[in-house]
Amino acid sequence: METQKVAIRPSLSRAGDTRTASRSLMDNWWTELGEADASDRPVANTFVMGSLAEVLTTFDLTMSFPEIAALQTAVKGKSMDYLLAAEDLGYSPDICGYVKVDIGLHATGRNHPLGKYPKPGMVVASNMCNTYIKWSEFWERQYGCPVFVLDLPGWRGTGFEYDASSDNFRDDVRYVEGQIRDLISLSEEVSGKKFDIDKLREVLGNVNRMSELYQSILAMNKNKPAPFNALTEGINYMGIANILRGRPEGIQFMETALAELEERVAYGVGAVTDERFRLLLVGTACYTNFRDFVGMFERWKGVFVASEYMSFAGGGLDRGLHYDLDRPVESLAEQILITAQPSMSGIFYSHEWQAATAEEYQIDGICYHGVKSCRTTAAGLPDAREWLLNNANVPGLFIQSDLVDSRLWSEAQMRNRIDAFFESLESRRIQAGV
Amino acid sequence: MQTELSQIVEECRIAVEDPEYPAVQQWLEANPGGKVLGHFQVYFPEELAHAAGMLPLKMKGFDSSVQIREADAHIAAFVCSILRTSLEQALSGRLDFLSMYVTHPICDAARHLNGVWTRRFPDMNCQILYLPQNASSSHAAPYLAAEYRRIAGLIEEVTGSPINDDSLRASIELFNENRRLLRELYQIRRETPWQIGLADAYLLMSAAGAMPRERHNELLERALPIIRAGDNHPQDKLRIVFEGGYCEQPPIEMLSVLQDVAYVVDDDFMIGLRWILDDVPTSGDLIDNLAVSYLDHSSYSPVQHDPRKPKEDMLLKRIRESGAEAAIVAAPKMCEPGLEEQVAYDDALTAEDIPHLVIEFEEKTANHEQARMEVETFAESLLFEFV
Amino acid sequence: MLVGGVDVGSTQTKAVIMTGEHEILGRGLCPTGAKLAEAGQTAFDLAMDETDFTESDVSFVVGTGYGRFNINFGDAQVTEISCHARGAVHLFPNTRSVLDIGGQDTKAIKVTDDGQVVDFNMNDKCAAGTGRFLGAASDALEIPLGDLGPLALTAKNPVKMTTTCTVFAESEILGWLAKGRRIEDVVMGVHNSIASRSVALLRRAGIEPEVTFTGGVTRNTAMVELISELVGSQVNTNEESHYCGAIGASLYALDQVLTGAFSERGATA
Repeated sequence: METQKVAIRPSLSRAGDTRTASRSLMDNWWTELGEADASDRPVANTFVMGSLAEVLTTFDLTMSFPEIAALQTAVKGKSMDYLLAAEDLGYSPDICGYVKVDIGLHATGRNHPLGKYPKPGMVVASNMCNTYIKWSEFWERQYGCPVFVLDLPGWRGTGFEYDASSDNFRDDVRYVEGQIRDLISLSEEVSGKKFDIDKLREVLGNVNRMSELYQSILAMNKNKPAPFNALTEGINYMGIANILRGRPEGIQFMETALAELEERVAYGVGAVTDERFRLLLVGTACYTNFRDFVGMFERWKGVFVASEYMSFAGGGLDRGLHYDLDRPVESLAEQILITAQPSMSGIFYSHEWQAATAEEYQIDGICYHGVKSCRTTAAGLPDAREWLLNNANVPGLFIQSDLVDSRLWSEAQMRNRIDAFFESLESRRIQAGV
Repeated sequence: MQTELSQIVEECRIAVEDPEYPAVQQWLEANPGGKVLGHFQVYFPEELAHAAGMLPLKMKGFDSSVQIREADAHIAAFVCSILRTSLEQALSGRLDFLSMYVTHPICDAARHLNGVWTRRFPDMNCQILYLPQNASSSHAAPYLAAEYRRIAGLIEEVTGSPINDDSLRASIELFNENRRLLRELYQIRRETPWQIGLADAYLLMSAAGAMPRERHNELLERALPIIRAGDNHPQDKLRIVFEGGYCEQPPIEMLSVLQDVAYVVDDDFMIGLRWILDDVPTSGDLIDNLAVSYLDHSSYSPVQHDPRKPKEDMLLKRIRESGAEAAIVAAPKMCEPGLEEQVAYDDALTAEDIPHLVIEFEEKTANHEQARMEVETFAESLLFEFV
Repeated sequence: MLVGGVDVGSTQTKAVIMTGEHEILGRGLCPTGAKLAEAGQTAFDLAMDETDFTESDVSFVVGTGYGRFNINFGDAQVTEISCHARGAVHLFPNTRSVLDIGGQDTKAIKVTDDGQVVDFNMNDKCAAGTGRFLGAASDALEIPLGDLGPLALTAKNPVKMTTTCTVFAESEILGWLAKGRRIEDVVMGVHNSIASRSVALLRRAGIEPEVTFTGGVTRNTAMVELISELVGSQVNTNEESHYCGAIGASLYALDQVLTGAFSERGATA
């Protein structure tokens, strides 16, 4: 009996639900930011790694995510204006583009393409990225706002794992818990509200649910064909997971996303038609030429089924995060150390995670995308790549551009390397008789 | 007397500049079975290693005497030179004597060092020490003390030697003495900078991290009286502060260029070796004392966040207290924290009307004509201003 | 039966006409200039002229190089990375590593015994490890490019070039001369800089002998010596090596004619 290939994509009832939801949620977020700015309500600047949204949301503090705002300027093709404005003030071309876009926004009236970009009333910066701390020092000088640096001890060496009964773990937890309590006091001052521990429990419970959903979403891509592109759609899941971390709307969004993916899987519909190559993305994305970048892989029927990005920018959601609501503050400290921080500090030793992910998700190759702006994710890539090739037999492509600076995007160079990579994957396939 | 001083400077120069680490090799020969602990910039509590009988060695970069052959295969572009030269040293086999290697996440690029070293040298006991970036928190000192105990425990495992109060006290006293001698050197430079050139003073100071501290103390004890007794005469040179040498170091030739043109009366070169500003107490809990000294009795750098010490205020203080008239605000190429701090320094000095020159440098620059031109032009412009 | 391979590079375009028995019947070479399609046609015609055949006798043409999509008479495109790999193994069957230092970029390729790419690395962003750096030196010193190699070989005390950027290379070169360093020492310094940057790319995947060195820079004997020293064995070179890409392209064309290899490929143009 001849099997018929599905010639037309079946009409999926949930198609587009996630995109519609995320657009509306993003609009709401920008509306909230604009309202906060107009009414002089304090806004908390925070970051995707170690955001402590759990605490900030307990105080109903409006959160601004400058990293997300910066990448949005690039997607809208506007980042160059802000970069140049910052460079005019003396900021070097060699520092993080996100920082410069933000400085440029502040220097030119805080008019972001998506709405009014608020001033920070306080800052929560974790040490998960050293640049966060320098970035906050800029806001501190500019606006005199309190800066809370959340110091999270991370992996001390390769294969690091906490032993819950060890002194090391208890000492680290004590430090983090102490800091969280200090942040709670600061949030009381800034918001003018008293700390409500039951509200915190509710928020933590919501994050627990989001964590389950996030993991389920990631696991959907173990299917063949993979239902979502971990780069284009993944960025959406990640973005919303961050800005609505701990909020019921965040849970609803992820339930919508999961349902849409389940439908795709049921009908065998992949992110790319006739999926041919499954890829892992290590590093961050190029937002100025986002669609072109993905297009250069899709033309070879290549799809990003997984990305390290969805791990380290997920704040522990991919690592089995689960808060104990009986001991909310202690548990918050513990879970950050066990899930969020390792998803970041583990990337310096992530060759083993990459090898395991490559196997779990049946990956044909890894794209190592080094961006100039982000030395955190980029500096050690060549070394990790060689390890994967020679120790795990997973081929890797190394390309470079930037997060938001289109001066570093060279289409011809990228395309050449990407095409050559796929040619070699094709010939590997032929040799393997697949 | 002058010959003795130049001999001392030469011994320091060899220890600092020779990529084969002769001072370490000598120590290993004299101490069979001795173990060396390599620590990257900026700061490391060397007393802990010393107390277990280890030789602590500051991993720093090298100038063009170390040619990059292998390191670029492991580290991406757009990073500073010091990461590459220090890795190159390891990949070339020159650091095979290390029994332990410790880094601290000073910046996003340096955080990769440990991962790369671990993959390439799995037997080198590579460790990360997490120094607190929430330094003003009341919880920071107990945390740091715990972190020091953890590292001390690992040192004990690697060496098989216990670190007890007596050995740790003796080490702390030794390093306290070293810091006192370094402070004296810097005082001489502030008060009578004509008695010692910048390049020589730099070598005398930075050798601390490249040789046994006992020997370094001996050398300083001999050198300082000679310098004080010198009969050089003051010249009409600009008094400046150099800010930007906390991690990657400018090449020594650049310092020679500077000293022709100005008196550098204070700086932050190798600040980690001089991080603690007064004696670490030797009574009570010694590890607690080391932790408190790190946090509360210390200098400043762009890679240590501490709201109690806003960096531009600290720089202005340094300029004031050293009687400097101007500053060079430098940053290594590609150094994210340094380049970011530069803008704040620039703005602050401009607001205070303090003349300053903003430059970038690289440890491996062999050609200093551009630097010379910039610094000379700067100095000239100020001389004309003062006339 | 004939096939063709056309390599439209940034400075030169090369073409090769090959038989089913892998015999090369004709070669063509011309400057690329601004009109890529024309350059492709010109090189191809020059190669045809060396044979007794005409274009209609050629069954399949594969285009490669940066201008591969501009060859309007081409039947398929393959990157020059894959083509160089095939071409190098064709020229030297024991090749397992290929280093190609071109005018615009440098490629380091690890290959299987039948010329398939295992891994490749290219210069990061800038031209410091490429032939362009030699061009900059030639301009700065006003010495013809072809004379640089022999001059370098007379150096007794090469300088250590430290500039990462080709743009500053000229001023560093002049700086050394101003300091009284000998021209040959400066020129050798430039060569050393290119050689070590290029070999560093090879190291990213690990160097496996034999190493075949291709590209226009292979005519520079100093460079060949330096690269050999750095990789630890004598590298393979021959006068055909600038045709390496075109040869590889024609081998891919042959694959198509003999086995229909392109029909299964995922990529759409």
